Amino acid sequence: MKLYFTTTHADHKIALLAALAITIHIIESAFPSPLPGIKPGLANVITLFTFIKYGWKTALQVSLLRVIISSLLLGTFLSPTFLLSLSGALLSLISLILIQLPFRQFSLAEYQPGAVGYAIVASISHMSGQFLVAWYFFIPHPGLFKLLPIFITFAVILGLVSGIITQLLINQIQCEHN
Amino acid sequence: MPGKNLVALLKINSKALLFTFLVLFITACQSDKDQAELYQQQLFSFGTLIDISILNNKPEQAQQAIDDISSKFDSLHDQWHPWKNGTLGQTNKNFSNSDFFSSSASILKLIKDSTLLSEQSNGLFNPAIGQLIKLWQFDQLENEHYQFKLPDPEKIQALIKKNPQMRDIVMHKTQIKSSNPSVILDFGAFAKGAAIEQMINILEQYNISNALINAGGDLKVLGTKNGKAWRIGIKNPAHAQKPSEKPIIAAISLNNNEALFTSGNYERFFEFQGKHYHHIIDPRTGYPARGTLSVTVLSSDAALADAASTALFIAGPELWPEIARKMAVQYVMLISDDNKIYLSPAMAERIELFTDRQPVIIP
Amino acid sequence: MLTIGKVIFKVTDIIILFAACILTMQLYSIFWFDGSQQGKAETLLVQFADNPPAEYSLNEDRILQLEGKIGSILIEIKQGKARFIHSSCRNQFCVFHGWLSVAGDSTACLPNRISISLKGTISDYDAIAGSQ
Repeated sequence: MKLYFTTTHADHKIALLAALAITIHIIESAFPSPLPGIKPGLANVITLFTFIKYGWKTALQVSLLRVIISSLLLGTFLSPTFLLSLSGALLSLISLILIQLPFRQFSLAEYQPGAVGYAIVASISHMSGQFLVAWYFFIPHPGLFKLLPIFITFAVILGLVSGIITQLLINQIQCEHN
Repeated sequence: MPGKNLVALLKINSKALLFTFLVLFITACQSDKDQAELYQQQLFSFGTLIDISILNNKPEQAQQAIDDISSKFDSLHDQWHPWKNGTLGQTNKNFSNSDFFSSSASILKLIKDSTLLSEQSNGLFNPAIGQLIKLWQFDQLENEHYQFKLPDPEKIQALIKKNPQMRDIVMHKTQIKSSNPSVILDFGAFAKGAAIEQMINILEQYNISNALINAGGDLKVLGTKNGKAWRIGIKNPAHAQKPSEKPIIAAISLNNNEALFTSGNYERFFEFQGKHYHHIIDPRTGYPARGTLSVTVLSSDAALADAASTALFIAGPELWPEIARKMAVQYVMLISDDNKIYLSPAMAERIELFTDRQPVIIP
Repeated sequence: MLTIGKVIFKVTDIIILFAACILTMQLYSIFWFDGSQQGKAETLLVQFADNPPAEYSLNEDRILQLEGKIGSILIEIKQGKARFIHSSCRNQFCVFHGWLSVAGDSTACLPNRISISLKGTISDYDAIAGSQ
């Protein structure tokens, strides 16, 4: 009995994007951050790019691959860090899908958010997701909420930055196609 | 064009929806799945206004508990009054004979507990000085017709010489007597705490696990306020003299079964010839204790907190760490006459100060 | 559509950014009250023993005439603050307390069995320790 195991173009695409995301994630994790949970979020650029260009299903796969494999490589699989990372990634993807939904439903594609808009939404929900998991499972202290505004502020700023980077990336790829 | 307006509306709506969802999610997580109703009542007893808050979903039960507590407070106030005809009043009368006599279980318990506390506080907490306290007539503060004057210094000296102490009381099973006829018990510095402990028991009997009893600024809590720890603001003693000062000097969150008691020189006092005389009498001098503005103590035993806040107030900024150690109270804040804030290390970790002044932390 | 350098900001993006800023500021105002900005007081709570509390808006200047256990009481509300201006008690501790101006501030007239306190819009304290 022969087992056919062929890879499709889609698989290649996902593998490449995931590899990029993982690499960035691991490099990022080498840098110290001002507060636990504040990361430049450059790996999100890949997720955003994937979402905008290839849709949410691809983005979901890339995102999950990034979170799981990075944590395996860094040795944080199933650790609290992993849970925070996973919850952030999932929530941000869900929020991207939700934001996009009305534009698709009502055929308003040209009014869709650009990379920057998506990035800010994703960043805020990523941070919120992480915060909620941290609060629910690790630090149920009400005092934790004093940090929320700070985290969200960083989320907005970093979202803006990663959105701009994503936009530039998209522009670059467009140019190369043309 | 209507199309563009509709589009704009939809854009804002979907955005708003998502953010509302986020914000609601965040704020909703603060409240428990079962939000309980807050029942609150204010009563007057024990010479002060008492605020009782109960969180549950059974209004009749909450009301019954409050009624029980109200009548218990009134009954204890009479029973534990040093001069009226309740059990303590009778006990005090009997001390002047030198024979053994019986007293009620609750009075015996008060005597036992306060004897230990008196010893631990090196006599700074001394309920046996009832006669001295009577000289100062602070119970007459509410009496409209009473004219304040300083007690006769000779009378004060005489009582100091007689030196009534808790250890003068000899207990044999359920019988007691005093070897020093000048012993008169006044549990003013301790009774509120002991009473509140009894009220907490009543609440527990009613299966109420989330409540707050605040008797004129001395309080104890059970459980939480719908998932959040009870948040208590602490009055700034300086505010009483200078309204321009902040009214609240600090805040602290209390966990299940914790009590917070404060002794201050601004609570019960009278002014005479320009001087301020407050109600916390130093048993060593016979005069109101000097050097301290207020002391706040946190403990899971309300009676201990009550006695400790008095003893530490009298101990003052120099002696308080030693007394606190002996009485086994971990959480202390003392504000001295010159407005310095002293904290025990454990208190420093829990309390939130609203002042730029650096506290002095003494282990 | 706004173009800065090579980046294209669509209208939606700007709306999202705007909404995000508002959300952030909301969060600061919800979670970040501290002692120095103890919350603007909105209402005056007046409670007699054995009675439910009564609320009065601090936005309306007025004088409340109340009857306590031993006589009459006058409470003044003015410019967002409140105070006892008259009480039938002897010691007048309540009157001497002066203006209550910040959320959480409270005072009482024990002979008349009445307590008053200021409540703010955001989470105040559940109780005040060291009063009276």
